[in-house]
Amino acid sequence: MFKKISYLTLAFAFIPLVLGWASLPVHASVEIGKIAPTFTATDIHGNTFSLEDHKGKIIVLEWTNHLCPFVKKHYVTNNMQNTQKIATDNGVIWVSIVSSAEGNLGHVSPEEAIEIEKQANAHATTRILDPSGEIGRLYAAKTTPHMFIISAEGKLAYAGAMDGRPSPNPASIKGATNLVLAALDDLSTGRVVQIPRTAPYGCAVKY
Amino acid sequence: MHKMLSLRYKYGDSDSPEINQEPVLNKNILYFFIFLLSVTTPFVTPTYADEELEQYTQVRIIAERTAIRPADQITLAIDIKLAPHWHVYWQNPGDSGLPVRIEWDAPEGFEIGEIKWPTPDKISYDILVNYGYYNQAVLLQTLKTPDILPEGKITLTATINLLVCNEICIPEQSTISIDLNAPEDLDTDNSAYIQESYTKIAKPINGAFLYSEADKTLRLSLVPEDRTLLNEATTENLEFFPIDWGIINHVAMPNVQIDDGKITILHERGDQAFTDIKELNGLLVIKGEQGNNKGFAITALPEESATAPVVTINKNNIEIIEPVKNVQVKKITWFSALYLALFGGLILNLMPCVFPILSMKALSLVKMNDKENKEARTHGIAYTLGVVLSFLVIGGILLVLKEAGTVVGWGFQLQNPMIVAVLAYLLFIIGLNLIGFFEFKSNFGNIGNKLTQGQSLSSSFFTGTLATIVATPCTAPFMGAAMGYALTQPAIVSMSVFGALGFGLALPYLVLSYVPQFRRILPKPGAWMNVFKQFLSFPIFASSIWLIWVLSQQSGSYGVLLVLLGMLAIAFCVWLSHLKSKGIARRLTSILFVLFMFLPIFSLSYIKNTSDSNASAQKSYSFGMPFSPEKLSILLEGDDPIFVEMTAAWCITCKVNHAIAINTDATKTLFKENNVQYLIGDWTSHDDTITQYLQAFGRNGVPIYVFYAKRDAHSGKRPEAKLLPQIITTKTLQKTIGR
Repeated sequence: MFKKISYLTLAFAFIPLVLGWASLPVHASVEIGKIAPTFTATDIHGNTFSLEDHKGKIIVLEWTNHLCPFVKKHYVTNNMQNTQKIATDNGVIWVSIVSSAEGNLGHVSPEEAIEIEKQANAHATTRILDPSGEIGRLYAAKTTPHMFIISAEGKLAYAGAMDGRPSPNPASIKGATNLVLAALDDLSTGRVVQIPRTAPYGCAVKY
Repeated sequence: MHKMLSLRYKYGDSDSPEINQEPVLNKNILYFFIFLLSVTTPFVTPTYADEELEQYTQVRIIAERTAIRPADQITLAIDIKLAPHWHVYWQNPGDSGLPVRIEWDAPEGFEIGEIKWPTPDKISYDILVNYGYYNQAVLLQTLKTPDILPEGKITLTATINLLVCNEICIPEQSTISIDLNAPEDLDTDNSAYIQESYTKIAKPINGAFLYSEADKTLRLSLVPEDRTLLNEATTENLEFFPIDWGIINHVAMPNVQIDDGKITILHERGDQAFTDIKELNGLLVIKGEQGNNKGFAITALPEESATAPVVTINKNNIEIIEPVKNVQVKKITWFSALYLALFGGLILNLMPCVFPILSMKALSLVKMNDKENKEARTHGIAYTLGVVLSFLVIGGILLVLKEAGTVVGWGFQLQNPMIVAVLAYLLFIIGLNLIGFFEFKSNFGNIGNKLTQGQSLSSSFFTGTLATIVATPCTAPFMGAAMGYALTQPAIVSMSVFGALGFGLALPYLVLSYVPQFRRILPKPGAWMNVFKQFLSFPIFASSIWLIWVLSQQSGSYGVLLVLLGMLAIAFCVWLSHLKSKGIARRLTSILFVLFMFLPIFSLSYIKNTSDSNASAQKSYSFGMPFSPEKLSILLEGDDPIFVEMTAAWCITCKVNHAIAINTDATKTLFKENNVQYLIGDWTSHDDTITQYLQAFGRNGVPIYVFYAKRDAHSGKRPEAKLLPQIITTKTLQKTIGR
């Protein structure tokens, strides 16, 4: 009898614990102009990648999911690859991050991720798998794609969409303003980023 | 315990079973059926398998009416039906997703207004929140026609782009045309449907609405001038859904204070700076069940800029046409619901499936003499507890399903062919037992072992449970109103109605067990009891046959074949168990039994109903037209009286009413003489339009009979629709119609 009761008490003791955890502020502390949070992770090739190792360089974080129609729009039109190439050619560190949890859509093994990169002819510096969603939640990444730019001073300079045309239609790329390139342009010429915040659009990150 | 009967039956070499026990004493069999029911219940949710959706959305466009005049204004509805569990998005999709987009291609001079959106649901997923719709979304747009209308048919074409998401998101495009003033088209009037759709649209309200920002928090100070909002809003159920991105952090929960008509909402701010904004548009939402949020559209002004008179008249004040309520829903109180439930439960005892079980139980009392008064009473209480608790469990399941968004009503479980099959099996087995084919004493297929026969209290309790299970297919008169009431009330009230229903069912036995004087009225025990018991198997078999017929409507001839084969297997296994062999044969029996019972049941879920339910309605009724809301609204525009019958194959009351009151020469003549337009809706399988119709009358089960009297020649108006009793006779109809 005593045993039963103690199990029950244990179970009840967990309730506030779980609730307490769930009500923790989920809004991560990423703010334009503030120091961006750092992280260390292993990339798909098995190398350690740490944000702190690249201090002094502009860094782009790209949340991606190869199965999402909005991600596909930017890849089939080569819009994403072109942006990656222009950025990395100019010394920008470009990190593609997949935060799909195991069992969820877009979750891939490192081998599959390498193959996806190859197929897409991507020009990212590196690609990180984040199945625990730790990095995604750190930045409150909500959609794929969701873009973040960190300045050479380590401050968040841009957060939002690739462009202002929320549509999965590849035809919408033509004539759209590339907001990431615009922000990178501002940063490299020492200007204040003109449009630092936009509404990200796309599929939900599959945490 | 009572070995007073000497009748013996022989089956081959088997032991001759005694047949003087109640059919219901075996709780192991019961456990098995409860298990079987519990295995099949998760599949109760409406099956949409019939429609193979090529897309996850089906979009239709419906015009308020198809005949238009110059300088006219009508409403167009974009009706999006979604596959179960998929959703589309509101104008502010939230943290991901895309709003539905509609582009029109219309002839010159036609103006199409902005989209009026229904109030969305808040859809939470991890650190994201979306605003959108499940199951169905009806967006409305106003069409203004030019002063000079082109001759003949006018075609408008809409291209609808939307993103439909479940776990994955799929962009879908539909291009749909609608013809107005087509020469071959009689004017179709869908105003009833449009008005119904307007009830879902967020209602613009007036009042003093101000916003300010402090410490990364949005503060809304609201003084609404809307009674409904003020009456129904609580600090728990009220939320603010902004129309623009970045106003609030959608994931955060609001802090709501309500003080004497003044509402204050504090909500964590989003990422959009307020510097560029002149006003804040959004909805105050009273949260309801899925698809039933109530929205009130407001426009808030920044607090500092607000000068003296702060009453903002909503600029988008759309004229909302309240649906014409020409039906009178009789409101019933808790007390009368309890009373009706109790009475309904009492009548349940007379239903052919329950009656034999109660009779057997009563026979056991006959055997008790006056000395055993005390024992009889405890049995009465145990039985009552069994019934009431089982009803509470069923009530609980109904409430949980309702909470999960399933449309339910009493009898809804029979919309699932698997449950129908299980009940048919159960009744078949009870019938076999009653007629004496076998008894539960044997070691029945390993399911039951170490049976304690006789009058244990738990057996009385489980008899109660069994009575409840076999009662579920039946709807007694008076239950409809009570159930309809119960399922719209808070949980405690609903449960009390279910409890009352159970108590009503248990009451006759309880009375018998408590008052020995009543027991003396019962005949003396004797050999007649055995004959009577055998006789009772026939209503049970009849109930089983009826369930198979219900199944034939749901799963077609193949489903019937499977279930009949399952019954053959049951009978065969019972026979096998009579053989004296032990060991392997016994084990084989049990394996065969389980296999042959489960296989048909589970394969039923893969069988598609071959016949469309409306088509079958036409087939099985000799007169009358299939019901649809559109059809009804067309008829309502006319002058003729209308009679609407809602029925289902599994509803015995419906069938009896139809046979003795409606499908008769007298009624046919009556309808003909009075030009009565007769509509039949078939609820045998899941049908949302019928469920909605039932709900409009405060019901959620069939039967229901509604009479709309003819248009009054002087006033040009129709009298209120009249809801007829659940048991009708030719006389009732003559009195109602022939006035």
